[in-house]
Amino acid sequence: MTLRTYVIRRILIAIPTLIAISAITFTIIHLAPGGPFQVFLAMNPRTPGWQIELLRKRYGLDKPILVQYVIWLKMLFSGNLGFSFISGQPVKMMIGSRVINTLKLMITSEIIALITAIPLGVISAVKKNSIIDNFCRVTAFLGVSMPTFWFGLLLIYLFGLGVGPFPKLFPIFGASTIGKTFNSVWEKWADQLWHLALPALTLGLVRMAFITRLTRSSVLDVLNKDFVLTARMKGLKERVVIYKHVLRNALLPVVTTVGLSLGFLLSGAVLTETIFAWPGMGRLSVWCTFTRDYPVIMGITMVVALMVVIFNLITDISYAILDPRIRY
Amino acid sequence: MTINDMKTMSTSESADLKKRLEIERRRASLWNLAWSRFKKQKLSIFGAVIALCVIILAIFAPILSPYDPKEMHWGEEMVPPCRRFLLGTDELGRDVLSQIIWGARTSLVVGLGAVGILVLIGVIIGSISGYFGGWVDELLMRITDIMLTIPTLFLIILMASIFKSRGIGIIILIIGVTGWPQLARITRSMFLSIKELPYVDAARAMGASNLRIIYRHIFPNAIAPIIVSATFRLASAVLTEAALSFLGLSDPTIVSWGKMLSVGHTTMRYAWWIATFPGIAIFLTVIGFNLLGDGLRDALEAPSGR
Repeated sequence: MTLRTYVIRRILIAIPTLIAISAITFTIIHLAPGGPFQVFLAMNPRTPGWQIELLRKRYGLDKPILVQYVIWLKMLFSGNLGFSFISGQPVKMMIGSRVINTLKLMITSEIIALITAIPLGVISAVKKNSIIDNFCRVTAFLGVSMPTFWFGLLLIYLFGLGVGPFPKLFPIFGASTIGKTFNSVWEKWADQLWHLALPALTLGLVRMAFITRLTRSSVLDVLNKDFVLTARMKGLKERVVIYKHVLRNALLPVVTTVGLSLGFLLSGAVLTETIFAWPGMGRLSVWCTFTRDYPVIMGITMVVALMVVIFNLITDISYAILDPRIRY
Repeated sequence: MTINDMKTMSTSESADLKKRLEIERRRASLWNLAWSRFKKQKLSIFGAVIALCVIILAIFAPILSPYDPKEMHWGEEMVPPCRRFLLGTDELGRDVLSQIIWGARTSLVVGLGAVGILVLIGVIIGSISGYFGGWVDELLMRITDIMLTIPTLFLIILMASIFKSRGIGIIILIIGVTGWPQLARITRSMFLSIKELPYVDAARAMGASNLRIIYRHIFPNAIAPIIVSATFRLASAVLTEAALSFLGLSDPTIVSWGKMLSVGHTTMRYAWWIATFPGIAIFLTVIGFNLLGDGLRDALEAPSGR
């Protein structure tokens, strides 16, 4: 099987998976006690019963659950995710801009994490038990144990508020300066990067710690292999041994684990977005949980599931490219 | 009994005794050996001490806390740390130290409860999968893989949206039900390697049922990695609980570190102590259990060379 047929097969498998996920989610949220109008009712306790009934009818909640699901599925295939119960906006619009913001945050923090963690992990392993190694291990350990939201608050306190001796360097909320006109694209990008700095650092730290530990143990593993000994016996320079022989083999498990755990970045994104008031999907998902906004919950679930499927696919493909021994 | 005594016995008798003695010696020394290895690592001891402190705080919270954590001291809102309030008070005049002490109880109850549930689910699924193999294994591991790639916090938020009221029991249940895949994986791999050992065949030949083989013969020998993994899960359950309360998805009436953080972060500009101390509490607890897990892994898993 060539890589191309493999990819096509994987995409074809992904479609029933996504439909199954949607069916399960749909059932769960609709079987839950208390509908979306509970919140509405709590805010307006004197709403007469017939009005609630009218609302239920209008949103199709009076129909049997299977009928509701089929209607939703039909809409999905015509590229429509329905309308929010609370704001009345199309779900596609509500999620669309937020997905981009969340992706911006995730990609930036992952880049920060990778470009710091992989060199650190490699140095740490090559110079095992040295001062650098101990320093890296302690930092990575602390990073893994650090609550994301608390680290975010620390960064806000140190760099965002301008309290006491600390300068106010970065903005602490939003994805861009509101109401500002930019003279050029560059200026707009710079403004966005400026807003990204603290949230991306917050989200990047945990990932950095995780990837450093992973890289270190993987490189240590490969360093003990026979072919490294052979390479050294051939009289190759240590640099060549590390770059050509060790790294390529050691980074394979790193790629898989990093790729498969990309979904967890989304978990971190929920917290980071809440702290920095980042207009992303994580914050939206918390909000629609409070208001029980079914169409938005469904929309977000589908987008998250799709993202996870795509991450996994990219991981498998890059694995195949990095390791010529793997053929599908 | 010495070796010389043994020599005087008949060969079959002495072989039998030797074997029994060997078994006795090993049983006595697995935990002794682990302990002697564990206490050599200073960092692990440090972790164990932190964990012990959290447990003591949680058990003796009513005795140790200077004030009622929910008591509002009128006219003493947002007092910085001083002699009367060692860690200051929050924006409603509640003592931060007392809240942290009671918060330890919440964190530990949620952590232990959730870990109990996830260990139970993980061990059952992992042992069935590893022991029986075949299509059951295939199916269960497929489900485990899917669970592993789903972003946990999203799943937890989704589940939290199902329940109308979110008491502490619901939070425990949600964290437990979503956290089992790693344990299932570990249990399965242990079962896969142990079930091939001769003593399992011997038990089967003697007519032991599958259930008996699983719980009398394989499980006790697979327990070390399960304990280690459970310790790490405990650390992450504490983090998840804090995250949920921080997002406001937990029981609003209980005292919890995450909730203190979410309250404190709005007033951080004026009162740094409200958010700082619960943050340190979470950080230290997680470090403690992670170090303990590291130490247990080195102590329990190294000798067998697995």
